[in-house]
Amino acid sequence: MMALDTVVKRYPDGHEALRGITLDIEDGELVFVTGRSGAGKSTLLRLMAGMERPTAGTVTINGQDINRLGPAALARLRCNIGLVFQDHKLLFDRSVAENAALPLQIAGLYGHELRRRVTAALEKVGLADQAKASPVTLSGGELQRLCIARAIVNRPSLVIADEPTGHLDQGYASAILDIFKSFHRAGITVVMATHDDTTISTLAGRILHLEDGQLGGDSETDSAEYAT
Amino acid sequence: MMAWLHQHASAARLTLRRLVHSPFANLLGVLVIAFALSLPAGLYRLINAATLLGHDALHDPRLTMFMASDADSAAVRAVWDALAVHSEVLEFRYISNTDALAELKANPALADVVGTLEHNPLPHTFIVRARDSSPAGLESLRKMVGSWNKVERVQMDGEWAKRLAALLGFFRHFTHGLAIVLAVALVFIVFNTVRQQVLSARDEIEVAHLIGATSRYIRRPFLYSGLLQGLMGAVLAFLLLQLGSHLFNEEVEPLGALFSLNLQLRPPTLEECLLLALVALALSWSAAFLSVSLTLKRLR
Ligand SMILES: Nc1ncnc2c1ncn2[C@@H]1O[C@H](COP(=O)(O)OP(=O)(O)OP(=O)(O)O)[C@@H](O)[C@H]1O
Ligand SMILES: [Mg+2]
Repeated sequence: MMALDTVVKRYPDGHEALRGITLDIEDGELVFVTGRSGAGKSTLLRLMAGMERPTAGTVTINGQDINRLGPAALARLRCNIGLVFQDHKLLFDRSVAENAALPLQIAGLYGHELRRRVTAALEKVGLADQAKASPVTLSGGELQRLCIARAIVNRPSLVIADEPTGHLDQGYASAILDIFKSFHRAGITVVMATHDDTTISTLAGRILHLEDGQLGGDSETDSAEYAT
Repeated sequence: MMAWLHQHASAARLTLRRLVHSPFANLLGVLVIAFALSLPAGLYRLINAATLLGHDALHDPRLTMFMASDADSAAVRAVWDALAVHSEVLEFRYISNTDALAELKANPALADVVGTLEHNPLPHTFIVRARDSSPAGLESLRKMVGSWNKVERVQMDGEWAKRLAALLGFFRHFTHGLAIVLAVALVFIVFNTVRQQVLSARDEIEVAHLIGATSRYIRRPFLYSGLLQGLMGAVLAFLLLQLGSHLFNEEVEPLGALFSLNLQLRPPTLEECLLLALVALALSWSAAFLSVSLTLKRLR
């Protein structure tokens, strides 16, 4: 699914956010990216999503080296990756359904098929009732769920989420995690950044631990739930 | 194919939505574009009409003889008889001062002014075509008839035609310059409107970009917006030109008729309309493209 080979990311100000990361992610894996604030989690996720290019090393997504892709090909690639942003990136002058429909419109879908897929995505995150509402009226957890609906409306095989439970209290957070768990069960590859330890303890998966831009650990959790 | 059509349709819808969002600013822009298009186009039309006019005069030169204001009917009769037998005169036409005044009165624009006159200020006039229409032939005829009794002034129409041609040459240059300045203004207006639209849609653009929209997809509605402005400007310019010709014909044509000149402005032809639309669309599209590209680059 995805391979990083000695990836270095240096920002224009000279700061090295990632310093030689090598890793592989297989189809269907559930991966947590952990580490202290500033360790490079968001940077790593942006590279995995093809939103940024590495300064050195290669990032290969679905067999394509993103350094060799032009802007248009990169945009097409991103269409097939579901992205959940920590700060939502929702449009507040559009309805819930219109927000969720955005990736489909970009992909050129319309009419009945578009409405059907939007409804399905909103149902998956429990927002079908609020389809016509404005995002302004949604709670923090609901906004995050709308963000997830938008990420999966295109039926991507890979979902990348940057701290999807960041600002949520425990009840909301576990509802969100349940959604990701269901994606994982459906065979979707999920990569999620978090510094919320309780998140990891309730879910089973692979943990990539970042320390100051380097891979400090790569392990599996042995959650009881995962065994069942 | 359907998906492609639909993408363009949805971009067009987005364009309209943005247009309706700030109708006043857009309307103002369209108005200015319409003026920028119709002003030089109207001037060109006037110049062309005037050129044709001068053309006639150049190729069919005539002398206009004005009688002195105290010339009585006997004096007029004498000139008439002299012209009738003159070998160098091909044909001539007499306009009495009462006929000239009556024609002026028939013009609704002038009737009021003419009505206040206490006595007729117009001279009796002869319009003469020479057998030899070369400049030398005309000049000798002019000298001759100019010396006749009670003939106050003889004017060579070819002369004013030459002067007109020189003047029109100047105006043509002036209009070229004006057209360029106004084209720049048009580009600037579309550029600015599109820039405002891009800036006010920056959230939308950012999100679309993040979730995989190509630059082409993001640019499209803004290009449409530029094209739409150009098109609306062209349509409005066309209406302004029509109105202009109408007013011109109403006011000026009767005046021309006095001097048996055809001053009628014909309605714009299909080719002229297409040219106008093409220029408007090409300029507005380029301006929109430039604007959206530069503004997006700055946003990134
Ligand atoms: N666009 C940028 N330009 C310059 N430096 C940046 C940029 N983005 C991130 N950095 C720096 O790179 C380092 C890693 O940032 P990153 O956002 O990846 O960390 P993070 O692990 O996601 O942190 P957090 O948990 O706070 O979100 C930080 O020191 C940050 O200041
Ligand atoms: Mg981060």
